Amino acid sequence: MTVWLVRRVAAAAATVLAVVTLTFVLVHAAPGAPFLPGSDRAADPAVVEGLRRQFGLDRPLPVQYARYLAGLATGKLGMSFTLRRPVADAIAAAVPNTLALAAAALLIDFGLGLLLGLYLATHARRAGDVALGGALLLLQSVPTFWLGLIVLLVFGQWLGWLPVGGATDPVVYPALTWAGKVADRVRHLALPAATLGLVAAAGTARFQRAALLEVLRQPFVRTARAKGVPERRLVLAHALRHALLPLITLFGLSFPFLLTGAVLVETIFAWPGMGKLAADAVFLRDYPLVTAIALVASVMVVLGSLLADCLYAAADPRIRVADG
Amino acid sequence: MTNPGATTPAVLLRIRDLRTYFVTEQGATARAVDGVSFDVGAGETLGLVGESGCGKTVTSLSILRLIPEPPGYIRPGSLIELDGRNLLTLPPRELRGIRGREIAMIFQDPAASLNPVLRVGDQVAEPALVHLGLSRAAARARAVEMLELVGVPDAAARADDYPHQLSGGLQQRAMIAMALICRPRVLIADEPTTALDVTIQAQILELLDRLQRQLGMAVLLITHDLGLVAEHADRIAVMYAGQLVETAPAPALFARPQHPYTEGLLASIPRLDRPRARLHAIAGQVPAATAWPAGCRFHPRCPYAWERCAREEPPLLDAGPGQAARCWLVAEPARRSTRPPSPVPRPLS
Amino acid sequence: MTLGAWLAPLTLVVLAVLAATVTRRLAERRPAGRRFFRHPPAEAGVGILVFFVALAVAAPLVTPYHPDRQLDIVGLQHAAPSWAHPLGTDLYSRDVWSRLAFGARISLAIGALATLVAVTLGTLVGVAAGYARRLDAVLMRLVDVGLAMPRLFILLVIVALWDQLPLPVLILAIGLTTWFATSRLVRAEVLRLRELAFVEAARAAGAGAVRVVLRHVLPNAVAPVVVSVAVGVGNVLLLEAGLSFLGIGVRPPTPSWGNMIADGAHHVTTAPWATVFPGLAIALVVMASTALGDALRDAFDPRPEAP
Repeated sequence: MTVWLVRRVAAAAATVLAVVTLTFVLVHAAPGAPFLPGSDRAADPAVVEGLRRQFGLDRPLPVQYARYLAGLATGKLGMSFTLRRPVADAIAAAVPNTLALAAAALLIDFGLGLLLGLYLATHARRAGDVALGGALLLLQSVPTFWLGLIVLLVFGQWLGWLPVGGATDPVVYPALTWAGKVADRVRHLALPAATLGLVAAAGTARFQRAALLEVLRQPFVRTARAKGVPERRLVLAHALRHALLPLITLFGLSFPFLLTGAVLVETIFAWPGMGKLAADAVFLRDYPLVTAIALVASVMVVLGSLLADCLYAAADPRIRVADG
Repeated sequence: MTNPGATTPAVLLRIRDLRTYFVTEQGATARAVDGVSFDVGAGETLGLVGESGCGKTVTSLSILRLIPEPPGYIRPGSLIELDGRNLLTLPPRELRGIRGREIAMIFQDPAASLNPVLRVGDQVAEPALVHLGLSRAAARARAVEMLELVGVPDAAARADDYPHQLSGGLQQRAMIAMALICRPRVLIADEPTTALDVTIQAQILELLDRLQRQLGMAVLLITHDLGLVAEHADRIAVMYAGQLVETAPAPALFARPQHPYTEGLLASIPRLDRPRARLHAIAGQVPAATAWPAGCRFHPRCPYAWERCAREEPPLLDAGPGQAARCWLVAEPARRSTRPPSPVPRPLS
Repeated sequence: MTLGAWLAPLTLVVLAVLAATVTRRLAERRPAGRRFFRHPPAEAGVGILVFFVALAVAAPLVTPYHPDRQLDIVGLQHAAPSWAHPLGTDLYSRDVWSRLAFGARISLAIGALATLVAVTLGTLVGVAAGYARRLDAVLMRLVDVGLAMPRLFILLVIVALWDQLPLPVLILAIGLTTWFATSRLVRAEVLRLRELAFVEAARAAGAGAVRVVLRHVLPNAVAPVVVSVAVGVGNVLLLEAGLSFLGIGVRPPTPSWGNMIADGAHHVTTAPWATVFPGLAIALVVMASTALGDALRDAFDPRPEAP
């Protein structure tokens, strides 16, 4: 087990290194970069040359690569042109918000998805399954940002139940009690998290339905029936326990979706997270910021996948209790 | 096996005219079990023998109503009685009460039939938990007792293991423990040793014999292996094309088989004590369940067949004490000599 | 719109329904076809796809207005759906229905082309990795890296670094970042096929690696490729929509479903139709793509039960 873990972590580290190298290559392969922030700012060639020397951009590539890696290791991700502050600072401020959004969305995703999937599987091929299955298929197919706009329209504007933007109420927040602050944050988190979570939940529910139906066909379920185990216990204790395994795999695969979705959803709801930061930055061609965010996102995906692998190994006794 | 001189045992399981059909994707009807009747008494072992595709597994699954109801269905007019209670008309809750408690079943592939993510002890204990209302601890304790009873060494430790940590033989012992934990009155064993090594096979079957004697169960032993039933069954029912073609006490079946199919099966067993000859095979193939032949279903493959066989389907005809065969040869025995069959070997015991 | 202008989309709908029914009739003669249509959404998916492809192809014939034409700038800005404008008008007083039809051309073209690039590349890599053991480790490392980077972020980096990305380059970029999953699937299939007897027989007969791959392995590895194409179109559509929404995909005034949503986003509360309809169109096509992918998967590799 530990051997497997070490190898898995080493593979993850190698992947991260490869991603880092890829971003480096991209940045240096682009025309004009790595110094011209935008083609609409024509700069004096002499000034540009001077700056290149100042930033060490005239050194041979391997040297630059080494310096890049060294900089990353110490947490220096460069300077943002548009924000005029170190990229690392901007990201550090934004990441917690995105994590909060992702966590809330994951909760909705798997909580709702599991329940719906259970319903679909236990009512398979009957009217409820067909109708709900069709609705979920549609929900899974909508662009998340479009759903966000609709949700904003319905719940924010028409019904006025929830706030339509930002992480906190700009006016009232500082004056609230601690509990009030938490409540305010939650209220602001609700719509964006629901948007991301619902689309993801639709996919999870359909996936879970398929996984459960697959398990229910297995011989050991027939054995349980032959023992006289009631249906409910059969589904919950036998089938679900087994169907959790593919669900963990799905969990690992949901990180890219959540991070990608975050870019668009955060933009719509003005949620101050990594996604919005990236969207704004790309619009202004602030590539150090965009590149760094891409890097951080990739690391999160790799870590998430590693976490899912560990959870899977822990949950499947065939892996956990095997030798080595 | 019970004492051959004992009186007829009380009938526990009574099957009459069981018909289980399946609707195929193309809309045709596969008549997998087409009018099967037999009894099994307490303390008795009935061997149900046949090739794959003859319907023996479907028969066993029908008894506990484990057939997936679409596309399968048990035709009305079928009767399955346990000690007088009609199982086909029971409401679902009572049926569940029967399963695992009065009638238990063990399956062919123990590795696939055990849930890989649950501990062995929990699975063995489950029927006791569900049916006998025992607490988790009491059920667990009883499970360990059962595992000891079926000969699992170091039972308490094994109960905490997962199925994949046990060998095939131990897994099947665990299945047996699981089936017997509520002291059922009927045990259905569907090919219990097919997936196991030959040496283990013998051990498992001896175990089943011993437990049957101890618990006085009726056992329905389903297999394709004639050698197995020779050793372990009191009576044998041979199945072909969804029907019983011959029933007889075990010694009589091997000494005086009445149905050509039985003769063919016996002749197909390779022998070590004879000069080496070509292996006998029954000509032809098992027909598809959607299209059983007209008349006697075996007639396309039968060396004795004459025109009556293609025309009229024979019923089960009385062919001696406790013996019956679905063959017109029983009514017209003279025809047997018209075409001598291959030599019929006798079992070694 | 005149009555004649209404007839055109109706014809498309009828065409779509006909196509779906006919396809089903024809397919049900074979077991794979029956398995395909066992899924309830499959038939609808075929119909939807036919409708939108026909719409894209026949756009100029089916729409009454030019997509970029700004009608009555003052009077028809954000007009609600009406008889004359069935889907309303947008911020710039352009007919939404017409823009939707022409947007179908762009969005579906991008979807198809990028998917083509992705699946081709994915298949090549998958076959190479599955068949040539020496290449396997290297290629799969590459795939791991590719799967680790969320697609949108890579594309953001590319867009941020290159200033004005022309559309073909964008399509290429999308294709180059979407092939990883396909390669895994194809590789798995090739690994399975490689062990089968007929491949061994071919090699024993002296066939070189390339020939074995082209004539024996590839034709049998069709299943994951076709499924990838079906599902890929939907994925690319969503990606393009996102990019266009962020302003870095298809540039206005060329209509794409994504930038139509972007145009309407700021006024979603006052003129929801400008946003709702393009989004609905995307959802329908993605839904069709997913449904077809599921149905194809089942048709190729049957499960004993209905979905």
